[in-house]
Amino acid sequence: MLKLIKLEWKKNHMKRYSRNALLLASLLGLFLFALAFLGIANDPETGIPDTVPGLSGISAPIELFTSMSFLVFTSVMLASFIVSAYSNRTMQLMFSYPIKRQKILVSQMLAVWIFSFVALTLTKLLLYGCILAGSHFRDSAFLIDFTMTEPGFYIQLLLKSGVIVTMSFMALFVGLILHSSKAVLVTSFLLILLTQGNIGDFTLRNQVMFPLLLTLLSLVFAGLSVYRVEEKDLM
Amino acid sequence: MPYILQTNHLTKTIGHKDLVKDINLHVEKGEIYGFIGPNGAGKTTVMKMILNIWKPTAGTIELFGEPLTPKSYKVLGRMGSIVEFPTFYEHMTGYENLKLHSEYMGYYHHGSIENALEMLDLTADAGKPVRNYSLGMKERLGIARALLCKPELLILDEPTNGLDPGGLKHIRDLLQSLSEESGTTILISSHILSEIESIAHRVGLIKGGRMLQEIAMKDIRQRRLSYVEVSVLNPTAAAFVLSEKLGLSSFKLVEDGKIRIYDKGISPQELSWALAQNQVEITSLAQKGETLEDYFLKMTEEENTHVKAD
Repeated sequence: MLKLIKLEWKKNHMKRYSRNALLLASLLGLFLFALAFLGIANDPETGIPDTVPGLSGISAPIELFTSMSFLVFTSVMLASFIVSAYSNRTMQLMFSYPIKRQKILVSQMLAVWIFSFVALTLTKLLLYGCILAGSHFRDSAFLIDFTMTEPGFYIQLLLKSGVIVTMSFMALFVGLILHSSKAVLVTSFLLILLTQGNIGDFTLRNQVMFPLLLTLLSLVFAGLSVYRVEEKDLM
Repeated sequence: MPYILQTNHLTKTIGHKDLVKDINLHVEKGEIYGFIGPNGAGKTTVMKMILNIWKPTAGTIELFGEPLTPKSYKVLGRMGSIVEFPTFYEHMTGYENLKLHSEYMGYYHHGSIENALEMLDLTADAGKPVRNYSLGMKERLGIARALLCKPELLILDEPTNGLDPGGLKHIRDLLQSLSEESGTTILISSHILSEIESIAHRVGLIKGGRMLQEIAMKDIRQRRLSYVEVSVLNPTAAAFVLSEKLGLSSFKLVEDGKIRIYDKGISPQELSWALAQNQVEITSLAQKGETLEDYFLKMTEEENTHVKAD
Protein backbone atom coordinates (compact mmCIF):
# COMPACT_ATOMS: atom_id res chain seq x y z
CA MET A 1 0.00 0.00 0.00
CA LEU A 2 2.80 2.37 0.91
CA LYS A 3 4.40 1.70 -2.45
CA LEU A 4 1.13 2.48 -4.24
CA ILE A 5 0.80 5.74 -2.32
CA LYS A 6 4.33 6.73 -3.22
CA LEU A 7 3.68 5.97 -6.88
CA GLU A 8 0.58 8.17 -6.74
CA TRP A 9 2.68 11.03 -5.45
CA LYS A 10 5.31 10.37 -8.04
CA LYS A 11 3.00 10.64 -11.01
CA ASN A 12 0.71 13.43 -9.79
CA HIS A 13 2.72 16.64 -9.88
CA MET A 14 3.66 16.54 -6.19
CA LYS A 15 6.12 19.38 -6.64
CA ARG A 16 3.33 21.57 -7.91
CA TYR A 17 1.04 20.68 -5.01
CA SER A 18 3.81 21.25 -2.48
CA ARG A 19 4.52 24.64 -4.00
CA ASN A 20 0.83 25.53 -4.01
CA ALA A 21 0.41 24.42 -0.40
CA LEU A 22 3.35 26.59 0.57
CA LEU A 23 1.90 29.52 -1.34
CA LEU A 24 -1.47 29.01 0.30
CA ALA A 25 0.14 28.84 3.76
CA SER A 26 2.05 32.07 3.09
CA LEU A 27 -1.04 33.90 1.88
CA LEU A 28 -3.03 32.74 4.88
CA GLY A 29 -0.14 33.79 7.11
CA LEU A 30 -0.03 37.27 5.63
CA PHE A 31 -3.78 37.65 5.85
CA LEU A 32 -4.05 36.53 9.47
CA PHE A 33 -1.03 38.57 10.42
CA ALA A 34 -2.76 41.60 8.93
CA LEU A 35 -5.93 40.65 10.74
CA ALA A 36 -4.18 40.48 14.09
CA PHE A 37 -1.63 43.25 13.87
CA LEU A 38 -2.57 45.62 11.06
CA GLY A 39 -6.18 45.93 12.06
CA ILE A 40 -7.76 45.17 8.70
CA ALA A 41 -10.82 43.68 10.34
CA ASN A 42 -11.27 46.49 12.79
CA ASP A 43 -14.37 48.62 12.76
CA PRO A 44 -13.25 52.07 11.55
CA GLU A 45 -15.26 53.82 14.23
CA THR A 46 -14.52 51.78 17.32
CA GLY A 47 -11.18 50.23 16.37
CA ILE A 48 -12.42 46.88 17.66
CA PRO A 49 -12.42 43.82 15.35
CA ASP A 50 -15.72 43.33 13.58
CA THR A 51 -16.42 39.79 14.66
CA VAL A 52 -19.32 37.59 15.59
CA PRO A 53 -20.04 38.16 19.28
CA GLY A 54 -18.20 35.63 21.37
CA LEU A 55 -15.56 35.02 18.75
CA SER A 56 -13.08 37.68 19.59
CA GLY A 57 -10.13 35.26 19.84
CA ILE A 58 -7.65 34.85 17.01
CA SER A 59 -8.01 31.06 16.87
CA ALA A 60 -11.49 31.34 15.34
CA PRO A 61 -10.33 33.09 12.13
CA ILE A 62 -7.25 30.86 11.96
CA GLU A 63 -9.39 27.74 12.11
CA LEU A 64 -12.02 29.15 9.77
CA PHE A 65 -9.68 30.27 7.01
CA THR A 66 -7.35 27.29 7.13
CA SER A 67 -10.29 24.87 7.15
CA MET A 68 -12.01 26.60 4.27
CA SER A 69 -8.98 26.82 2.08
CA PHE A 70 -7.70 23.33 2.79
CA LEU A 71 -11.08 21.74 2.27
CA VAL A 72 -11.04 23.21 -1.22
CA PHE A 73 -7.37 22.34 -1.67
CA THR A 74 -7.97 18.70 -0.74
CA SER A 75 -11.01 18.51 -2.97
CA VAL A 76 -9.01 19.83 -5.91
CA MET A 77 -6.43 17.16 -5.26
CA LEU A 78 -9.02 14.40 -5.03
CA ALA A 79 -10.63 15.62 -8.23
CA SER A 80 -7.33 15.52 -10.06
CA PHE A 81 -6.05 12.26 -8.54
CA ILE A 82 -9.26 10.29 -8.91
CA VAL A 83 -12.16 11.93 -10.75
CA SER A 84 -10.07 13.12 -13.70
CA ALA A 85 -8.28 9.78 -13.82
CA TYR A 86 -11.67 8.32 -14.73
CA SER A 87 -12.35 10.95 -17.36
CA ASN A 88 -8.90 10.95 -18.99
CA ARG A 89 -8.91 7.15 -18.95
CA THR A 90 -5.72 6.70 -16.93
CA MET A 91 -7.97 4.78 -14.53
CA GLN A 92 -8.44 2.19 -17.28
CA LEU A 93 -4.67 1.83 -17.34
CA MET A 94 -4.60 1.50 -13.54
CA PHE A 95 -7.30 -1.17 -13.63
CA SER A 96 -5.27 -3.17 -16.13
CA TYR A 97 -2.67 -3.87 -13.44
CA PRO A 98 -2.70 -6.98 -11.28
CA ILE A 99 -3.84 -4.97 -8.28
CA LYS A 100 -7.25 -4.99 -6.63
CA ARG A 101 -9.27 -1.99 -7.78
CA GLN A 102 -10.27 -1.13 -4.23
CA LYS A 103 -6.64 -1.05 -3.22
CA ILE A 104 -5.83 1.30 -6.08
CA LEU A 105 -8.60 3.71 -5.12
CA VAL A 106 -7.81 3.59 -1.41
CA SER A 107 -4.15 4.27 -2.14
CA GLN A 108 -5.16 7.31 -4.20
CA MET A 109 -7.44 8.59 -1.45
CA LEU A 110 -4.76 8.04 1.19
CA ALA A 111 -2.12 9.72 -0.96
CA VAL A 112 -4.27 12.86 -0.98
CA TRP A 113 -5.33 12.52 2.66
CA ILE A 114 -1.80 12.19 4.02
CA PHE A 115 -0.45 15.04 1.95
CA SER A 116 -3.29 17.42 2.82
CA PHE A 117 -3.29 16.46 6.47
CA VAL A 118 0.40 17.16 6.82
CA ALA A 119 0.12 20.39 4.83
CA LEU A 120 -2.85 21.62 6.86
CA THR A 121 -1.24 20.74 10.19
CA LEU A 122 2.01 22.46 9.26
CA THR A 123 0.12 25.51 7.98
CA LYS A 124 -1.81 25.82 11.21
CA LEU A 125 1.34 25.43 13.28
CA LEU A 126 2.97 28.10 11.16
CA LEU A 127 0.06 30.50 11.61
CA TYR A 128 -0.30 29.97 15.34
CA GLY A 129 3.47 30.28 15.69
CA CYS A 130 3.63 33.51 13.71
CA ILE A 131 0.77 35.08 15.61
CA LEU A 132 2.26 34.05 18.93
CA ALA A 133 5.68 35.36 17.94
CA GLY A 134 4.14 38.60 16.65
CA SER A 135 2.20 39.14 19.85
CA HIS A 136 5.45 39.54 21.74
CA PHE A 137 6.22 42.63 19.72
CA ARG A 138 2.83 44.17 18.97
CA ASP A 139 -0.59 44.16 20.47
CA SER A 140 -3.00 41.89 18.64
CA ALA A 141 -6.41 43.24 17.70
CA PHE A 142 -7.77 39.78 18.49
CA LEU A 143 -7.45 37.99 21.76
CA ILE A 144 -4.57 35.48 21.84
CA ASP A 145 -6.77 32.64 23.04
CA PHE A 146 -4.36 29.72 22.73
CA THR A 147 -1.16 28.49 24.27
CA MET A 148 1.35 26.41 22.42
CA THR A 149 2.82 24.82 25.49
CA GLU A 150 -0.03 22.47 26.31
CA PRO A 151 -0.33 19.06 24.65
CA GLY A 152 -4.09 19.61 24.41
CA PHE A 153 -3.50 22.32 21.83
CA TYR A 154 -1.66 19.92 19.56
CA ILE A 155 -4.13 17.10 19.99
CA GLN A 156 -6.99 19.42 19.08
CA LEU A 157 -5.06 20.79 16.13
CA LEU A 158 -4.41 17.31 14.77
CA LEU A 159 -8.01 16.21 15.28
CA LYS A 160 -9.45 19.28 13.60
CA SER A 161 -7.11 18.88 10.65
CA GLY A 162 -8.16 15.26 10.35
CA VAL A 163 -11.85 16.16 10.33
CA ILE A 164 -11.45 18.78 7.60
CA VAL A 165 -9.34 16.61 5.31
CA THR A 166 -11.62 13.61 5.78
CA MET A 167 -14.66 15.72 4.99
CA SER A 168 -13.47 16.15 1.42
CA PHE A 169 -14.32 12.47 0.79
CA MET A 170 -17.96 13.56 0.67
CA ALA A 171 -17.08 15.90 -2.17
CA LEU A 172 -15.18 13.08 -3.86
CA PHE A 173 -18.18 10.80 -3.69
CA VAL A 174 -20.43 13.38 -5.33
CA GLY A 175 -17.80 13.94 -8.02
CA LEU A 176 -17.56 10.23 -8.73
CA ILE A 177 -21.32 9.84 -8.98
CA LEU A 178 -21.63 12.79 -11.35
CA HIS A 179 -18.36 12.00 -13.19
CA SER A 180 -17.35 15.60 -12.73
CA SER A 181 -14.37 17.35 -11.19
CA LYS A 182 -16.40 20.53 -10.97
CA ALA A 183 -18.95 18.73 -8.82
CA VAL A 184 -16.18 17.95 -6.32
CA LEU A 185 -15.36 21.63 -6.02
CA VAL A 186 -18.95 22.78 -5.79
CA THR A 187 -19.64 20.21 -3.09
CA SER A 188 -16.61 21.34 -1.13
CA PHE A 189 -17.94 24.91 -1.17
CA LEU A 190 -21.33 23.70 0.01
CA LEU A 191 -19.61 21.81 2.80
CA ILE A 192 -17.92 25.02 3.90
CA LEU A 193 -21.26 26.79 4.04
CA LEU A 194 -22.76 23.94 6.00
CA THR A 195 -20.01 23.61 8.53
CA GLN A 196 -18.66 27.11 8.93
CA GLY A 197 -21.61 29.35 8.15
CA ASN A 198 -24.30 30.51 10.49
CA ILE A 199 -27.98 31.23 10.20
CA GLY A 200 -28.72 33.99 12.65
CA ASP A 201 -27.22 32.81 15.89
CA PHE A 202 -27.27 29.18 14.87
CA THR A 203 -24.13 27.55 13.63
CA LEU A 204 -22.93 23.99 13.48
CA ARG A 205 -19.38 25.17 14.02
CA ASN A 206 -19.29 24.79 17.75
CA GLN A 207 -21.35 21.67 18.26
CA VAL A 208 -19.15 19.05 19.88
CA MET A 209 -20.81 16.03 18.29
CA PHE A 210 -20.94 17.57 14.86
CA PRO A 211 -17.29 17.03 13.80
CA LEU A 212 -17.47 13.46 14.99
CA LEU A 213 -20.66 12.83 13.07
CA LEU A 214 -19.24 14.51 10.00
CA THR A 215 -16.10 12.41 10.08
CA LEU A 216 -18.10 9.23 10.40
CA LEU A 217 -20.33 10.27 7.55
CA SER A 218 -17.30 11.16 5.42
CA LEU A 219 -15.82 7.74 6.06
CA VAL A 220 -19.10 6.16 5.00
CA PHE A 221 -18.91 8.13 1.75
CA ALA A 222 -15.28 7.12 1.32
CA GLY A 223 -16.39 3.52 1.70
CA LEU A 224 -19.21 4.02 -0.80
CA SER A 225 -16.73 5.43 -3.31
CA VAL A 226 -14.95 2.09 -3.44
CA TYR A 227 -17.95 -0.15 -2.78
CA ARG A 228 -18.27 -2.99 -5.29
CA VAL A 229 -15.88 -1.24 -7.62
CA GLU A 230 -14.46 -4.63 -8.67
CA GLU A 231 -17.76 -5.71 -10.15
CA LYS A 232 -18.63 -2.54 -12.01
CA ASP A 233 -17.92 -1.73 -15.63
CA LEU A 234 -15.33 0.97 -16.02
CA MET A 235 -17.07 3.43 -18.29
CA MET B 1 -5.02 -28.27 -28.00
CA PRO B 2 -5.33 -26.14 -24.88
CA TYR B 3 -6.73 -22.69 -25.44
CA ILE B 4 -5.01 -19.83 -23.70
CA LEU B 5 -8.09 -17.71 -24.20
CA GLN B 6 -11.59 -18.92 -24.78
CA THR B 7 -14.97 -17.23 -24.60
CA ASN B 8 -18.29 -19.01 -24.49
CA HIS B 9 -21.42 -17.22 -25.64
CA LEU B 10 -19.92 -13.98 -24.44
CA THR B 11 -22.61 -11.30 -24.45
CA LYS B 12 -22.63 -7.67 -23.41
CA THR B 13 -25.85 -5.72 -23.22
CA ILE B 14 -25.99 -2.08 -22.26
CA GLY B 15 -29.47 -0.70 -21.85
CA HIS B 16 -31.49 -2.74 -24.32
CA LYS B 17 -28.75 -2.92 -26.88
CA ASP B 18 -26.66 -6.03 -27.41
CA LEU B 19 -23.18 -4.71 -28.10
CA VAL B 20 -21.97 -8.23 -28.71
CA LYS B 21 -23.84 -11.50 -28.52
CA ASP B 22 -22.75 -15.13 -28.29
CA ILE B 23 -19.12 -14.55 -29.07
CA ASN B 24 -17.09 -17.76 -29.09
CA LEU B 25 -13.39 -17.09 -29.41
CA HIS B 26 -10.72 -19.76 -29.29
CA VAL B 27 -7.13 -18.64 -29.13
CA GLU B 28 -4.41 -21.27 -29.00
CA LYS B 29 -1.16 -20.84 -27.16
CA GLY B 30 1.52 -19.13 -29.21
CA GLU B 31 -0.64 -18.12 -32.12
CA ILE B 32 -1.42 -14.74 -33.60
CA TYR B 33 -5.17 -14.36 -33.71
CA GLY B 34 -6.56 -11.65 -35.96
CA PHE B 35 -9.86 -10.27 -34.75
CA ILE B 36 -11.37 -8.67 -37.81
CA GLY B 37 -14.45 -6.57 -38.23
CA PRO B 38 -15.65 -3.18 -39.36
CA ASN B 39 -15.65 -0.24 -36.95
CA GLY B 40 -18.37 -0.63 -34.36
CA ALA B 41 -18.57 -4.41 -34.80
CA GLY B 42 -17.82 -5.03 -31.12
CA LYS B 43 -14.11 -5.85 -31.17
CA THR B 44 -13.26 -3.37 -28.42
CA THR B 45 -16.21 -4.53 -26.31
CA VAL B 46 -14.94 -8.12 -26.41
CA MET B 47 -11.40 -7.03 -25.59
CA LYS B 48 -12.58 -4.91 -22.68
CA MET B 49 -14.36 -7.92 -21.24
CA ILE B 50 -11.28 -10.11 -21.66
CA LEU B 51 -9.30 -7.50 -19.71
CA ASN B 52 -12.07 -7.35 -17.09
CA ILE B 53 -12.60 -3.64 -17.68
CA TRP B 54 -16.19 -4.47 -18.56
CA LYS B 55 -18.06 -7.39 -17.07
CA PRO B 56 -20.02 -9.76 -19.32
CA THR B 57 -23.82 -9.68 -19.21
CA ALA B 58 -23.83 -13.37 -20.09
CA GLY B 59 -21.35 -16.02 -21.14
CA THR B 60 -17.92 -16.81 -19.78
CA ILE B 61 -14.28 -16.11 -20.42
CA GLU B 62 -11.47 -18.52 -19.70
CA LEU B 63 -7.91 -17.26 -19.49
CA PHE B 64 -4.96 -19.63 -19.10
CA GLY B 65 -7.41 -22.37 -18.28
CA GLU B 66 -9.06 -20.47 -15.42
CA PRO B 67 -12.45 -18.78 -15.53
CA LEU B 68 -12.31 -15.00 -15.36
CA THR B 69 -14.57 -13.66 -12.61
CA PRO B 70 -15.54 -10.02 -12.03
CA LYS B 71 -13.11 -10.00 -9.12
CA SER B 72 -10.13 -11.51 -10.95
CA TYR B 73 -7.12 -9.26 -11.13
CA LYS B 74 -3.97 -11.34 -10.65
CA VAL B 75 -4.32 -12.78 -14.14
CA LEU B 76 -3.84 -9.26 -15.54
CA GLY B 77 -0.15 -9.56 -14.63
CA ARG B 78 0.28 -12.18 -17.35
CA MET B 79 -1.17 -9.94 -20.04
CA GLY B 80 -0.13 -6.83 -21.89
CA SER B 81 -2.70 -4.69 -23.63
CA ILE B 82 -3.75 -1.67 -25.59
CA VAL B 83 -7.47 -1.02 -25.68
CA GLU B 84 -8.73 1.88 -27.74
CA PHE B 85 -6.05 4.54 -27.75
CA PRO B 86 -3.23 4.12 -25.20
CA THR B 87 -3.24 6.62 -22.35
CA PHE B 88 -0.21 7.97 -20.59
CA TYR B 89 0.76 10.40 -17.87
CA GLU B 90 1.36 13.10 -20.40
CA HIS B 91 3.65 15.29 -18.31
CA MET B 92 6.03 12.39 -17.70
CA THR B 93 8.58 11.23 -20.24
CA GLY B 94 8.22 8.06 -22.29
CA TYR B 95 10.86 6.40 -20.13
CA GLU B 96 9.15 7.44 -16.88
CA ASN B 97 5.83 6.08 -18.12
CA LEU B 98 7.40 2.70 -18.83
CA LYS B 99 9.20 2.75 -15.47
CA LEU B 100 5.90 3.42 -13.72
CA HIS B 101 4.30 0.56 -15.64
CA SER B 102 7.03 -1.85 -14.47
CA GLU B 103 6.46 -0.74 -10.88
CA TYR B 104 2.74 -1.42 -11.04
CA MET B 105 3.24 -4.74 -12.80
CA GLY B 106 5.87 -5.72 -10.25
CA TYR B 107 8.29 -6.50 -13.05
CA TYR B 108 11.90 -5.59 -12.42
CA HIS B 109 14.30 -6.71 -15.06
CA HIS B 110 17.45 -4.82 -15.79
CA GLY B 111 17.47 -3.25 -19.23
CA SER B 112 13.88 -4.22 -20.08
CA ILE B 113 12.72 -0.63 -20.52
CA GLU B 114 15.66 0.27 -22.74
CA ASN B 115 15.02 -2.89 -24.71
CA ALA B 116 11.32 -2.13 -25.23
CA LEU B 117 12.12 1.43 -26.31
CA GLU B 118 14.73 0.12 -28.70
CA MET B 119 12.32 -2.40 -30.22
CA LEU B 120 9.80 0.33 -31.02
CA ASP B 121 12.46 2.75 -32.23
CA LEU B 122 11.78 5.24 -29.44
CA THR B 123 15.19 5.41 -27.76
CA ALA B 124 15.91 8.90 -29.06
CA ASP B 125 12.59 10.26 -27.77
CA ALA B 126 12.53 8.45 -24.42
CA GLY B 127 13.46 11.61 -22.52
CA LYS B 128 10.70 13.78 -23.97
CA PRO B 129 7.41 14.32 -22.15
CA VAL B 130 4.69 12.22 -23.76
CA ARG B 131 2.56 15.31 -24.43
CA ASN B 132 5.09 16.23 -27.12
CA TYR B 133 4.76 12.86 -28.87
CA SER B 134 3.01 12.46 -32.21
CA LEU B 135 0.05 10.12 -32.60
CA GLY B 136 2.21 7.41 -34.13
CA MET B 137 4.83 7.74 -31.38
CA LYS B 138 2.18 7.35 -28.69
CA GLU B 139 0.87 4.27 -30.43
CA ARG B 140 4.38 2.83 -30.51
CA LEU B 141 4.97 3.72 -26.88
CA GLY B 142 1.70 1.95 -26.09
CA ILE B 143 2.97 -1.18 -27.82
CA ALA B 144 6.32 -0.86 -26.02
CA ARG B 145 4.43 -0.70 -22.72
CA ALA B 146 2.20 -3.63 -23.61
CA LEU B 147 5.14 -5.92 -24.31
CA LEU B 148 7.48 -4.48 -21.68
CA CYS B 149 6.78 -7.06 -18.99
CA LYS B 150 7.03 -10.07 -21.29
CA PRO B 151 3.34 -10.94 -21.27
CA GLU B 152 2.15 -14.41 -22.15
CA LEU B 153 -0.89 -12.94 -23.84
CA LEU B 154 -0.80 -9.68 -25.72
CA ILE B 155 -4.09 -7.95 -26.47
CA LEU B 156 -3.84 -5.23 -29.04
CA ASP B 157 -6.90 -3.29 -30.12
CA GLU B 158 -6.22 -1.67 -33.49
CA PRO B 159 -2.59 -0.99 -32.58
CA THR B 160 -1.75 0.21 -36.05
CA ASN B 161 -3.83 3.41 -35.90
CA GLY B 162 -1.75 6.43 -36.73
CA LEU B 163 1.18 4.45 -38.10
CA ASP B 164 2.67 5.01 -41.52
CA PRO B 165 3.20 2.03 -43.89
CA GLY B 166 6.82 1.70 -42.76
CA GLY B 167 5.77 1.68 -39.12
CA LEU B 168 3.07 -0.84 -39.92
CA LYS B 169 5.54 -3.28 -41.40
CA HIS B 170 7.84 -2.78 -38.44
CA ILE B 171 5.04 -3.69 -36.01
CA ARG B 172 4.05 -6.73 -38.06
CA ASP B 173 7.64 -8.00 -38.07
CA LEU B 174 7.91 -7.32 -34.36
CA LEU B 175 4.73 -9.25 -33.53
CA GLN B 176 5.77 -12.11 -35.72
CA SER B 177 9.16 -12.39 -34.03
CA LEU B 178 7.52 -12.17 -30.58
CA SER B 179 5.25 -15.01 -31.48
CA GLU B 180 8.01 -17.13 -33.01
CA GLU B 181 10.82 -16.42 -30.57
CA SER B 182 9.08 -15.88 -27.25
CA GLY B 183 5.95 -17.91 -27.87
CA THR B 184 3.78 -14.91 -26.98
CA THR B 185 0.14 -15.40 -27.84
CA ILE B 186 -1.26 -12.33 -29.57
CA LEU B 187 -4.86 -11.27 -30.03
CA ILE B 188 -4.86 -8.34 -32.43
CA SER B 189 -7.88 -6.56 -33.81
CA SER B 190 -8.15 -4.59 -37.00
CA HIS B 191 -10.77 -3.34 -39.38
CA ILE B 192 -8.35 -3.80 -42.24
CA LEU B 193 -7.85 -7.45 -42.96
CA SER B 194 -4.89 -7.05 -45.28
CA GLU B 195 -2.95 -5.41 -42.45
CA ILE B 196 -2.64 -8.61 -40.48
CA GLU B 197 -3.40 -11.23 -43.09
CA SER B 198 0.27 -12.05 -43.55
CA ILE B 199 1.04 -12.71 -39.88
CA ALA B 200 -2.18 -14.17 -38.43
CA HIS B 201 -2.46 -17.89 -37.81
CA ARG B 202 -6.15 -17.70 -37.24
CA VAL B 203 -8.80 -15.07 -37.80
CA GLY B 204 -12.14 -14.41 -36.21
CA LEU B 205 -14.62 -12.34 -38.15
CA ILE B 206 -17.08 -10.22 -36.22
CA LYS B 207 -19.83 -8.01 -37.58
CA GLY B 208 -22.71 -6.26 -35.88
CA GLY B 209 -21.79 -7.83 -32.55
CA ARG B 210 -21.96 -11.38 -33.92
CA MET B 211 -19.14 -13.73 -34.63
CA LEU B 212 -19.40 -14.76 -38.25
CA GLN B 213 -16.59 -17.23 -38.49
CA GLU B 214 -13.41 -18.35 -36.87
CA ILE B 215 -10.98 -20.07 -39.14
CA ALA B 216 -7.30 -20.99 -39.40
CA MET B 217 -5.47 -19.12 -42.13
CA LYS B 218 -4.16 -22.32 -43.67
CA ASP B 219 -7.75 -23.52 -44.12
CA ILE B 220 -8.68 -20.25 -45.74
CA ARG B 221 -5.80 -20.54 -48.16
CA GLN B 222 -7.08 -23.96 -49.15
CA ARG B 223 -10.66 -22.89 -49.40
CA ARG B 224 -10.22 -19.86 -51.52
CA LEU B 225 -8.72 -21.80 -54.39
CA SER B 226 -7.89 -20.12 -57.57
CA TYR B 227 -9.36 -21.73 -60.65
CA VAL B 228 -9.71 -21.31 -64.38
CA GLU B 229 -13.24 -20.74 -65.54
CA VAL B 230 -14.01 -21.62 -69.10
CA SER B 231 -17.31 -21.20 -70.94
CA VAL B 232 -17.93 -23.54 -73.83
CA LEU B 233 -20.79 -24.27 -76.21
CA ASN B 234 -20.62 -27.99 -75.57
CA PRO B 235 -19.81 -28.75 -71.95
CA THR B 236 -20.10 -32.51 -72.32
CA ALA B 237 -17.48 -32.61 -75.03
CA ALA B 238 -15.32 -30.26 -73.01
CA ALA B 239 -15.56 -32.48 -69.94
CA PHE B 240 -14.53 -35.44 -72.03
CA VAL B 241 -11.47 -33.59 -73.29
CA LEU B 242 -10.52 -32.49 -69.78
CA SER B 243 -10.69 -35.93 -68.25
CA GLU B 244 -9.65 -38.17 -71.11
CA LYS B 245 -7.25 -36.07 -73.13
CA LEU B 246 -5.74 -33.93 -70.42
CA GLY B 247 -6.12 -36.33 -67.51
CA LEU B 248 -7.62 -33.70 -65.19
CA SER B 249 -9.70 -34.80 -62.24
CA SER B 250 -10.50 -31.66 -60.28
CA PHE B 251 -13.03 -29.69 -62.26
CA LYS B 252 -16.66 -28.91 -61.92
CA LEU B 253 -19.50 -28.13 -64.28
CA VAL B 254 -21.38 -25.07 -63.15
CA GLU B 255 -24.31 -23.40 -64.87
CA ASP B 256 -24.60 -22.22 -68.51
CA GLY B 257 -21.80 -24.28 -69.93
CA LYS B 258 -19.24 -22.96 -67.48
CA ILE B 259 -16.57 -25.26 -66.18
CA ARG B 260 -14.27 -24.47 -63.25
CA ILE B 261 -10.92 -26.19 -63.32
CA TYR B 262 -9.06 -26.36 -60.03
CA ASP B 263 -6.09 -28.47 -61.15
CA LYS B 264 -2.92 -26.50 -60.72
CA GLY B 265 -0.99 -28.42 -63.39
CA ILE B 266 -2.51 -26.75 -66.41
CA SER B 267 -2.18 -23.22 -67.76
CA PRO B 268 -4.99 -21.35 -69.58
CA GLN B 269 -2.94 -21.48 -72.77
CA GLU B 270 -2.62 -25.26 -72.72
CA LEU B 271 -6.28 -25.55 -71.89
CA SER B 272 -7.50 -23.40 -74.78
CA TRP B 273 -5.17 -25.19 -77.15
CA ALA B 274 -6.42 -28.63 -76.12
CA LEU B 275 -10.08 -27.64 -76.33
CA ALA B 276 -9.64 -26.02 -79.73
CA GLN B 277 -7.80 -29.10 -81.00
CA ASN B 278 -10.82 -31.19 -80.08
CA GLN B 279 -13.31 -28.85 -81.72
CA VAL B 280 -14.77 -27.54 -78.49
CA GLU B 281 -15.66 -23.90 -79.02
CA ILE B 282 -14.66 -21.55 -76.23
CA THR B 283 -16.71 -18.42 -75.61
CA SER B 284 -14.63 -17.17 -72.68
CA LEU B 285 -11.77 -18.20 -70.51
CA ALA B 286 -10.43 -16.55 -67.38
CA GLN B 287 -8.20 -17.24 -64.43
CA LYS B 288 -10.10 -16.53 -61.24
CA GLY B 289 -9.32 -16.46 -57.55
CA GLU B 290 -10.63 -14.90 -54.36
CA THR B 291 -8.67 -12.54 -52.26
CA LEU B 292 -9.11 -12.95 -48.53
CA GLU B 293 -11.06 -9.75 -48.62
CA ASP B 294 -13.44 -11.30 -51.22
CA TYR B 295 -13.71 -14.40 -49.16
CA PHE B 296 -14.82 -12.50 -46.10
CA LEU B 297 -17.08 -10.26 -48.08
CA LYS B 298 -18.80 -13.36 -49.35
CA MET B 299 -19.05 -14.68 -45.81
CA THR B 300 -20.59 -11.43 -44.69
CA GLU B 301 -23.09 -11.42 -47.51
CA GLU B 302 -24.07 -14.99 -46.80
CA GLU B 303 -24.62 -14.03 -43.20
CA ASN B 304 -26.79 -11.12 -44.27
CA THR B 305 -28.86 -13.40 -46.45
CA HIS B 306 -29.31 -15.76 -43.51
CA VAL B 307 -30.36 -12.91 -41.30
CA LYS B 308 -32.87 -11.73 -43.88
CA ALA B 309 -34.16 -15.26 -44.35
CA ASP B 310 -34.65 -15.49 -40.58
